[in-house]
Amino acid sequence: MMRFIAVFLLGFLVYIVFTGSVSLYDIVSGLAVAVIVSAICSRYLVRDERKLSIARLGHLISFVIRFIGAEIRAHADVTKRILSDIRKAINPGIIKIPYEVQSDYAITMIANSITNTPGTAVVEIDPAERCFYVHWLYVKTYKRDEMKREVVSFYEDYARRVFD
Amino acid sequence: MSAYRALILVSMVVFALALSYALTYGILRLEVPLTLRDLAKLYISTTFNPLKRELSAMTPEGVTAIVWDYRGTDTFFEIVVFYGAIIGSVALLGAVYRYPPGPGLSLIAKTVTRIVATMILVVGAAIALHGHLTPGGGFQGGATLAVSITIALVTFSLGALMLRGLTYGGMVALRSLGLIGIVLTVFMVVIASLTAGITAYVFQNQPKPGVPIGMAYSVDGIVFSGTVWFLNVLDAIAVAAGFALLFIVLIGGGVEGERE
Amino acid sequence: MMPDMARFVYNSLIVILVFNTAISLYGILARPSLVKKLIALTIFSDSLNSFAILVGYRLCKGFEQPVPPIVTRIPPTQEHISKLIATAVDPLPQALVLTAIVISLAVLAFLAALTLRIYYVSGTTDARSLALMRARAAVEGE
Repeated sequence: MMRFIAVFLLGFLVYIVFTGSVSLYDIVSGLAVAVIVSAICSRYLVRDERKLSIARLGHLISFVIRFIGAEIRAHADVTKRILSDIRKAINPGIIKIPYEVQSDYAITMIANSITNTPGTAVVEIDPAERCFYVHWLYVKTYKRDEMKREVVSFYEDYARRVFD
Repeated sequence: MSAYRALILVSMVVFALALSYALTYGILRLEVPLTLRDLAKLYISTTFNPLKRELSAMTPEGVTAIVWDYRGTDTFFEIVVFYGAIIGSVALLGAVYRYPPGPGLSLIAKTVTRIVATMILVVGAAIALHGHLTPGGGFQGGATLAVSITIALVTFSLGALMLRGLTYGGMVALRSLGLIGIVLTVFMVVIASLTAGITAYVFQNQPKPGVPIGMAYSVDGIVFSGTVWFLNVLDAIAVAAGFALLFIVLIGGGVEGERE
Repeated sequence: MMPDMARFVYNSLIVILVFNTAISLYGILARPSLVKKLIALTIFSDSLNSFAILVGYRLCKGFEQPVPPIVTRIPPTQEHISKLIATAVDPLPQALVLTAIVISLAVLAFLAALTLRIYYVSGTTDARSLALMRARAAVEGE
């Protein structure tokens, strides 16, 4: 039931935002569409409905706010590297980083966050070995745990709190 | 071979230059007009006009009014052509009753598609349901719904979706349901007029001069434009199911050994 | 007279569409691959549809931009409708283009199925190879 309500709210919000008006017709038709879409899709969107809680939503919002900061820092770093001597400033390489989160959403959130910040991009994901292959513009270290701390840890902490 | 290709190129360039010259200076001269044509004036002045109740289509959106009211028969045969094309494709490639699930795309693509496909479904329904008020309509909404189905087909593989209810037979049934609904809506006013003892036009929506029978255009101030709302919704269902059918057949049809 | 900028944009739009049409006709007639012919056919129909939409375009008094043909105030007064007539674009070409898009889509779907069938049967979508295969089959049949 919780998953039905969550997907219903998502659908209704998208409907109203897309329509751009809140007359009686919009609300009635939006409710009907959200009920139908939620009945079809909620099984596939939410696997474990005990995980739906306000605390996790709060973690997600605080992640988005801190992610903007991380994004700005990464942009500044890459800009500095581009403007300085390119042969010394970059040390590109593809690194293999294991992940410990369980749910699909957590893995997707980590991978998309890594790709979204400039300088790092996930090129392949191996669910069997539970690891990402990440292209890194400046490989600072070759030790496994330091690599993990540099690239993944910040996102993985939040992904665990939000989705696992 | 190269002379043949050069001939084609030269003839194309000459064609383009001649046509653009004719358009800009010659007999085909196109100027941006400052006034509407008389026909367009007629359409806009009667598309939603309670003062000319007997001439008006009572649909606020002019294009949808033309598509489903003024030129409804045209649109009906357009649907017939689309239906024929899908039947032709099925006849060429063969119906797909069973298909093995494939691996699909990566985990990330699958997770993102779950969210995005749901949102596109909502947006497509919004386009279809607001067809009589804002730009859009049944076909556009149905095409948007079909986008959702298509990206799901590509990311999760055909077999995986067939296990979850997107089957060939189901889509044929849904499409037939939409088409039957359209035909019934077309004859709705005619049937009502026969019981009242007068005659009406096929595809009639609002009362016309000499035929004082028609659908209501609003309920409690909510405008739904009579048959136009029903035709939009049913066309969206028919088009979405038709596209889904087409992609099922294009992906899974025609391969030997997979058919039952 | 129209302002120079508007006239230039309008004319260049027409010329671009004409060239688009010409290039797509070249693709349909001269490229050997059936898939490329199909892509060129969609470009052709989209160019001509844009042309038809352009026919419905108009400018308002004082060369203002027009508005969509939608009654926004419900119920409208007579004054509101005459203002709409003075500022709205022609809805008829848009409605006809909608029909044309559906028809071209139907044709495209059928041709895609046909191309796929040709590929399954003969293993190629190259018109030259297909002609060659047909000639070979005719020679062997004699």
